[in-house]
Amino acid sequence: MANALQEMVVRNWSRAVPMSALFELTFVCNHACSFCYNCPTGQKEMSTQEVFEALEKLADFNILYLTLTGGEPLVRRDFFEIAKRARELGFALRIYTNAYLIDRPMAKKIRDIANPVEMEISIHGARPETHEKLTCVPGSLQRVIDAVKHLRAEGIKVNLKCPVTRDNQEEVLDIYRLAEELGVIVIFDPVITPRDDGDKDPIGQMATDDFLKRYWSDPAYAGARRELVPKMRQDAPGEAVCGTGRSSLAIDPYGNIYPCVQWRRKVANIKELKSMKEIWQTSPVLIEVRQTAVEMADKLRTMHEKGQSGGFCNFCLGVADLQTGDPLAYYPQAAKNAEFRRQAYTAWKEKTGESLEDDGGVLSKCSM
Amino acid sequence: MIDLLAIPRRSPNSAYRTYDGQATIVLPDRAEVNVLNPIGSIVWDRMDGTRTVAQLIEAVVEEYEISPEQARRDVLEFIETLRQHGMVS
Repeated sequence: MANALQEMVVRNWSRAVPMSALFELTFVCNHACSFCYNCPTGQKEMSTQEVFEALEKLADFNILYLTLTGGEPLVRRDFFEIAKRARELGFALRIYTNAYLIDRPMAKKIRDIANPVEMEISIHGARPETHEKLTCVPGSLQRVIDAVKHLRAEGIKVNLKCPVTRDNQEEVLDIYRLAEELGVIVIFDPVITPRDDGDKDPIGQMATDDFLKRYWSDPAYAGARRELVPKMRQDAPGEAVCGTGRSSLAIDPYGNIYPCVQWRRKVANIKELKSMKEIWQTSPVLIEVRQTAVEMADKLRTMHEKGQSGGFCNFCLGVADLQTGDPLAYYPQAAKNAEFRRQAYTAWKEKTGESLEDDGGVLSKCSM
Repeated sequence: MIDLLAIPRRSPNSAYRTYDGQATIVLPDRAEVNVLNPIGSIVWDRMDGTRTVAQLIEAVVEEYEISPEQARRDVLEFIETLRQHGMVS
């Protein structure tokens, strides 16, 4: 069955049949993370009924995986009404949260009503002072730890995710150990992105070059980065660099539809559509986005063939566009991480005489 | 032995969609994803708690050029497999 699933995913990807959607239910949040990319506009967020109607359109469009996120989705008083409706409509749910509101009864309610496939919880440090410096909320790290325990006790799969900044970079190994103690995995993301309005301030908090070099090369970080040595892209000609506008889509709290959570090129507003089918194959934005994703994969492959870092790059078209105005531009965070990854791989290859080129050590693509 | 008059129902905990005639089923409790073959997908899609096993067999015969005996064997085996995986109530 695993092969059948893989074949299904590849087939859907190649024909731009999306299987997942990310739904930002609100931009309201009970934390104040300094690097948060959300940019509320002050418009009225969707009502319960409007969210229900949007969910019906996504179900009718055959979306299977639905991620409920924010802001902080659990601050919506109607969150469980929405989760219940989503389950009735046959979605497999994922929930992204900061976990601040999840006590034991809430964990049970999540299990009973939402029954998510998994939950992702943000963590910003192994020590309270580090985590709380970034969230600006006292006691928030302990809330994360308690929430993970409550959710695990309910049998819910939990992943932690940690944007790596210069404030928490020296705690990465401690965060990894904390996750191990809690029996969950933690996904580190060393790329900090600009805000959705283009404000580049958060980038100043990116981890230092010295740390990034260590992170990608030092075997001590192999568990944290979830790869022994950096893997490479292996995009065939004509393949897209990521799933933007292809395998997934994103919707903000106002109903605006985007190709993905990172690339905020408005496609349409779901409140104004009768059906997602009206726009998915014909939207000029989506057609261009998909074509750009193929062009970028070609560009990275050409770079790799010239011995440059492109083959080691986890490239994001949305960040490139936001930061430089050109979705095909090799923006500094991508270039830096890719070059450190290339150097780490090359050093490992020279030292061991081994190679990952032919054995499926493939860098997985972003499909958010 | 599965009773032909039994009314099986797909697990309410499951989430699924059908792509290219193949049901893709997610079971949150087991962190499992399964893709069914076309016959299994027909049965799964109709297993909504309103049809008997006999009616599910009929549905398969209507859709495919196979004998009632073959359909009966396939459907019973399929439902048994679903039971073993906790995917049917």
